Amino acid sequence: MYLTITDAAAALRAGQTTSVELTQAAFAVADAHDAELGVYLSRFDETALAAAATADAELAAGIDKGPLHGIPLGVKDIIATDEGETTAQSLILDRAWGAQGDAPVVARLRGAGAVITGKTSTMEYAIGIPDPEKPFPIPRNPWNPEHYPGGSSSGTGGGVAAGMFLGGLGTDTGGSIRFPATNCGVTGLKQTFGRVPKYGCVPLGYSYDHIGPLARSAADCAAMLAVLAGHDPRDATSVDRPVDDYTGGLTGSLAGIRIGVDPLLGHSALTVPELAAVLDGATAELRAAGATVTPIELPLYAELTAATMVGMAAEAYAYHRPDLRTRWDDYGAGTRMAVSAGALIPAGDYVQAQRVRRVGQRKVAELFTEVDLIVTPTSACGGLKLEKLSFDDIIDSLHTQYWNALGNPAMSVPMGFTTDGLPLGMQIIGRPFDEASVLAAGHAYQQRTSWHLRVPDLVAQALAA
Amino acid sequence: MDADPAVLVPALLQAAGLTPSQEEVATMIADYPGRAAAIESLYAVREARYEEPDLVFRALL
Repeated sequence: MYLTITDAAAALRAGQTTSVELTQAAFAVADAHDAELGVYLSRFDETALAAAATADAELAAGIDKGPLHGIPLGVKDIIATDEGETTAQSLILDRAWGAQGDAPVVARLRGAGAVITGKTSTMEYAIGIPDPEKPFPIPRNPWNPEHYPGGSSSGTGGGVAAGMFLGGLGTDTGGSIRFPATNCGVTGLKQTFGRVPKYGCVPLGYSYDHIGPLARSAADCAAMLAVLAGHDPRDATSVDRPVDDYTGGLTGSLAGIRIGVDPLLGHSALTVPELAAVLDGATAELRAAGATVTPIELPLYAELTAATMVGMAAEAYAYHRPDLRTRWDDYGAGTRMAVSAGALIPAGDYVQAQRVRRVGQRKVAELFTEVDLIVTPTSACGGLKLEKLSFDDIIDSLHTQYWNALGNPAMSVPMGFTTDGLPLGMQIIGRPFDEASVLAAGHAYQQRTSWHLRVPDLVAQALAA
Repeated sequence: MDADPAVLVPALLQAAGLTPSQEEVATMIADYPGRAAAIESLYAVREARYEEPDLVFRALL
């Protein structure tokens, strides 16, 4: 069993494993643990194993499509795929939606030879909390199934942590890639808004949505982003600009890099006491890698967080109002409450949120003249207990929404554990379209630490077997 | 905040054609002051007074 895309890709080329073996091993873990962890909404065993066999044949014939060739990946079930219907983990979504087949991001992964293993669980429509009264799995944290794995890309985050695939696609409107990344002890990247096309993805907040990778390491995320990035005119917000070399800059050194750190300790009532020390340990490693680390204070933190929550609710409400009117009870309780908040937001207030985003962009751009990267905790605590889970607590615990208001690239990397043994994440943020620097910093950190390679007991057992 | 959430929230929900349960309406009423305060904080950003929003619209598809 291989933990990272990078290692599996090397093993494939060294003849130490095959794509079919990687895919079978991933499905074996799912067979053993998915009933408890709620990672998959649907599995594509037949097509995945056929794609794996094709990848093996191609590699044997000297056809090498790059580091994702033959690698098993999961896809969040709000993104369309050829294999079948998309549910958004909801009774509401018209099952004919997505009939056009693969979203551009999925087509790009397939074009790079990736093996799509299935569709992964989410919060309904990527918002709310799991609803036990609806006929969908409750995602659970592989580190402790009594705790939440984070959302809304719950299945992709939990699946990477559990070894059910080596990487996958999530989406992030207020933190939904970085939240499961921090809770599950894996790496997740929300790239710059517009960098990856989101056509073929069920929307939540049109001007806040991102599709991005979750995997064990920054190097793996770099390999995935290299395939995912690039313009597609079917997404009105897709940006047409050259794609950088994301893997070429992974040197392991941060010499000359200026990093500003805001621990955000006063912003959440859920902050665990050990967070400050864990973050200090992480920033010490950044310093040891050559970076200059200085304290900063993020401007307009509460206001920009509010700008995301207000704007996201308003945009989501516009999409959902027809169904909220006629099928209120078919929505999960948490989802309908979160989305209907948009009915209480006047249009002028929505526009004001957009104006504040512009002010925030200017202020943060000014901050980025003094530093090259910014670091914060991803969340104030580890995964919350499922039995006490509330949407308000989720929102309160996260330090991610700020960056959806601004659009900057932001990545969560594992940086340690709570005293209860739950993972904590460090968030690394860069200038717009400077994903390369974010990934390079994450890689340098992961060259000096092993938090991203720590595995929950169930993976340790699979490795031992 | 001048308006009474116990009056305003049910009225806005009715205008939107939404039919939450009484318990859900009570939760929304309780949450409303916090949301209203968050929105007020957006208007307190002095630099936004003459800022233009970046709304997506193109004359050509």
